[in-house]
Amino acid sequence: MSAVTIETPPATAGPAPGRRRRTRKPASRSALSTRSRLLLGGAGLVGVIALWEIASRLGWVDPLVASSPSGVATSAVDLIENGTLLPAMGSTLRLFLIGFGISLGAGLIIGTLCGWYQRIDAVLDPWISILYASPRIAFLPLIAVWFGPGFLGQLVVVILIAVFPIIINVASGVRAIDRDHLRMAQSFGATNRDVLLKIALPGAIPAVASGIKQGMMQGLLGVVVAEYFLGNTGIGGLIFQAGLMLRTGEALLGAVIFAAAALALSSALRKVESKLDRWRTA
Amino acid sequence: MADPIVRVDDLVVSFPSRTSKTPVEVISGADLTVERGSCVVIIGPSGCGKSTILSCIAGLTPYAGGSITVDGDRVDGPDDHSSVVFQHASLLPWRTVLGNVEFGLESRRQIPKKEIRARAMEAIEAVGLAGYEDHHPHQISGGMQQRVNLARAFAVRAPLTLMDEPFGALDALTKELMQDELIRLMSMVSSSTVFITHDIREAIYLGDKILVMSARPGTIIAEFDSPFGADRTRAMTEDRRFDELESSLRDLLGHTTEEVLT
Repeated sequence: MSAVTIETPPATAGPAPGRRRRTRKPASRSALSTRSRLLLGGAGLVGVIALWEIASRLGWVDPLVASSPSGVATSAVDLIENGTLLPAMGSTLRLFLIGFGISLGAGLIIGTLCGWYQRIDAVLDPWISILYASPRIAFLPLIAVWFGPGFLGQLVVVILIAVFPIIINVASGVRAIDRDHLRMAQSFGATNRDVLLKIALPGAIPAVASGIKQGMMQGLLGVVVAEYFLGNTGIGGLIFQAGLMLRTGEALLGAVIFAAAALALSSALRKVESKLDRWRTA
Repeated sequence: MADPIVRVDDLVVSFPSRTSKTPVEVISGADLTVERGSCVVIIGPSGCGKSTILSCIAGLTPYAGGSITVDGDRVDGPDDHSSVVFQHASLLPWRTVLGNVEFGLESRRQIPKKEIRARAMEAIEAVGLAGYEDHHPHQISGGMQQRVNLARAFAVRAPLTLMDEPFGALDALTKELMQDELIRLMSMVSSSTVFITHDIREAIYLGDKILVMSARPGTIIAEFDSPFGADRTRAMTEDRRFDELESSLRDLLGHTTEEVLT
């Protein structure tokens, strides 16, 4: 028996010894966890507020101009105690609710009419386009003359600012009816009323929701503008007056209240939105 | 045998032209009849106007000349004599499977709410979707969406069902499955069917009669009676006659397609 030796060829594959292969990190865009997001965001907020307080205490900034977190808190306590803050919030809330409510109702009705009836759209569209495109705040002095500097004038300002985004979004949502859906409905003998109620309006929900969101945010802006320039009431009036008197703590408090209101409104709307159109790829 | 359920005589359809004042003729002088309880397949090159014929029979497209009667009545708009299965499932995304099947029944009027629900459930069961009635369209596959499309059309129990390439966008396996399903359904409800396709094997598999259309302006150029009886099974596709019919259809269609190219 003779041993058979098989010669193995020298390995040629692979890099020469001693030379390091250069590796590159492949692209990765993994999502940050919700917990880390909240932690980082919260830390940022707390950090800035703390820094602001320190800067104010150590005299790096003039407390009269910049105020401080504790200054804002003191203003809040003072204004609640002397009974001005809560009525002011009530008056602002009332203006917003009534103004936005009317804008919502009118926007849904006018938007649906414009989206569905082409003749109504043809008549109203020039007016809507002109008013929506123009800086409506320019009408403030006229509104004061026509409707007075009281609640009615303020209401007109809020509506004039909030109603157009709602009208325009609702109209385009109703107008953008899916051709395939329309044909399908026709083939089963659906009436115009069926198509409006069962296809056009449900199909417009995403557009309606974004119209409402825009209208809400613009409405809030309208409230501030109205309160600044017509009657100086509510939280807007409070900010305006405090600014004139260099009471920066109070002014900042008002701004914080508006910011909190805007945040609360948009998160509430997001909840409603996700409930309304669960059918969109969840 | 009773009167045919569909009678199309000398149908002419024209659409306004974008480039000239004279309208473009899409269908010129098409004749066809559909016997009660039968499935007639119309096959033709793409763009020949086969979907247009179907749309005219459904009352969705006005025609310039000739006449169409369904179940004895002249067609001049959508009516209760027919229901349509579209190529795209055209399901309403905000309605559930059940809601989508009910849509057709609701649009028919005069059907009590209770009966709408019962008939919709029955149709959903018939297409094998029992248990899925609360799903939304985006939660089910393309094949299942087409089943809903079928259920919606069959639930109204029209004497005539018009199908516009309903399986054209499905993958090969799902398509075969749906064809078998359709054969089962057609024998169950004993409805008459007009089926549009550009798939030769699908035409032979489903049709009791196969009509071949020419390229635009479309007209019917040939008619084949199926050599197979009412009993449709996959075994048919192994039959010599299946292959013969396939090659004669392919010859005809290849010819019309060349005409378009030259």
